[in-house]
Amino acid sequence: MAAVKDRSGARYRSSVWLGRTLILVGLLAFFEVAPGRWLDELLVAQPSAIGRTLGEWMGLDGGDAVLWGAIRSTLGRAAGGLIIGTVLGLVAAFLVWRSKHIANLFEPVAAVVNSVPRIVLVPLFILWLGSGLAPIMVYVVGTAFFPIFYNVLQGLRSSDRVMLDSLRVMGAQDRDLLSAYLVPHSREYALAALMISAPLTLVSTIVGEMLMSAGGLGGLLVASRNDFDTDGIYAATLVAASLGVVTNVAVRSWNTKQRSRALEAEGL
Amino acid sequence: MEQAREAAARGVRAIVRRLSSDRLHSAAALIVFLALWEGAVRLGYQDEFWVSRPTLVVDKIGEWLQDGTLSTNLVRTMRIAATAFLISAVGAVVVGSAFARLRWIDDVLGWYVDIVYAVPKPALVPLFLFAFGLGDTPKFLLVVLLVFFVFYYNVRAGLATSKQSHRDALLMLGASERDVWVNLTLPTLVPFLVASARLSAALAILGTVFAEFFSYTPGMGRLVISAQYALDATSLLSVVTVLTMVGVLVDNLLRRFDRRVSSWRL
Repeated sequence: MAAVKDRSGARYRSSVWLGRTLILVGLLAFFEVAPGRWLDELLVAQPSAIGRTLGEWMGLDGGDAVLWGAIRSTLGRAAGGLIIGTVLGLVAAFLVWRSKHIANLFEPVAAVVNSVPRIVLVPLFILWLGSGLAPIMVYVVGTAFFPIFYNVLQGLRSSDRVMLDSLRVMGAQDRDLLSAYLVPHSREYALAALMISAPLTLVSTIVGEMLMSAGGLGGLLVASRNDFDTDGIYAATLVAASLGVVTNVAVRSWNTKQRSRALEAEGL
Repeated sequence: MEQAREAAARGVRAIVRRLSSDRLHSAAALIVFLALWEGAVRLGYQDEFWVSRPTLVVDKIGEWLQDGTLSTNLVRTMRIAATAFLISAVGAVVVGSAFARLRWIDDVLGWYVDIVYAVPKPALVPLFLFAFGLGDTPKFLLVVLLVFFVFYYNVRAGLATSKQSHRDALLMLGASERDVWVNLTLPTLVPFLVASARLSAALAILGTVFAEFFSYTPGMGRLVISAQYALDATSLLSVVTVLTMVGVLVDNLLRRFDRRVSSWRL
């Protein structure tokens, strides 16, 4: 018990934050000093230089604000792919659950397609669909589709048969079943899938952009590497990393909120 | 001759019996799909140059097997994936168990682990290539990062399930820390480790391939990129096929291993 108390104590907490800050400051100081002395300055950028590049990209020196455009297009593609993939996944899960025939046709195909390494398919998509937006979007939609499809299908299949039959006897149509029972029942499964698929679609979008040099953050990363722009590549990586962290935190807090709301609705 | 044929027939029957209807279904769907594809190209509805066809892919894989392309590239990819996977797994188990014991270190460094976990790992490849050159280091780093978190979080979850009361009982009976580790902690962790291995084996292989896309060193990834530049759909599909088969094979092996080591769990 003492340990638990100790852990929540204000002194303990401030020592933890002190430790975290010291590590961060130490790393920043090391990399500020090291290039040119112990590390090759062509390969390792100073934090101050990275900051300067970020400032330039934000248009602080009056130049082009390339950063916002890159972030916007990456986030736009990721969000678009996530929405399309989620809708397709929901529809497919419902159809597969509803009809034995569709299940027999679709499920084996989905299993095979899902076991194919998607990342290796990107060059193939590029070959087939050209170098526009299409290959990236197919890849991102594919990433978003499978978690939601499998999770929601599992949710639907775990639904209570007796409940469904009684609702039907009382004259419920598919639409009523969905709104009254299936959607609330499968909600948790869908949320759990989104927790996985939302950060994954961001990764897929960046990967697609890297493979196609198609603008966005992925394009920025590849372009700075091709230009041997030391500060640029560290800055671009930092932005991509931060975006990943922000997405993760956002998805988690959104999920907790949804869960607590669902609990409230159940009167808990 | 007669005997051999009979043995073969028995083998086929045994396989068919062991396949559940689900699997037969998948196999049938796959065969129909491949037949339609082959037919559509042969009859001229689709252009062979762009979509290739299954028999060409089989020929290509056969050709690669003969001239050593496959063994050179696949072995190289798999070796890097396996080495990095092992290093990362061992590292994650050590770090995970250490953090679980050292509370302050866990609160300070674990926070950073959580942050790095959320970083899109493939986005780090250009930086790795830039800082460490075109060799194998960037691939190692990517795979180590991809695999680490899977094991780390599973080890943490596994350690959280091991009961303090069991530990206390063992210690009271005079067990050393080492005895507790060997007889309690490790057996509790094994299912979590196997689950991590299954989750991250494919990640390790694909991570290596992805890094090879950019690094121009021999490997399955370079096969993909050179095929893409040559607009060679057959080669691309062959790589996809080979990697799918390797992935399914590895997963099957790990699943079997899982069943063996965790049979006592019912």
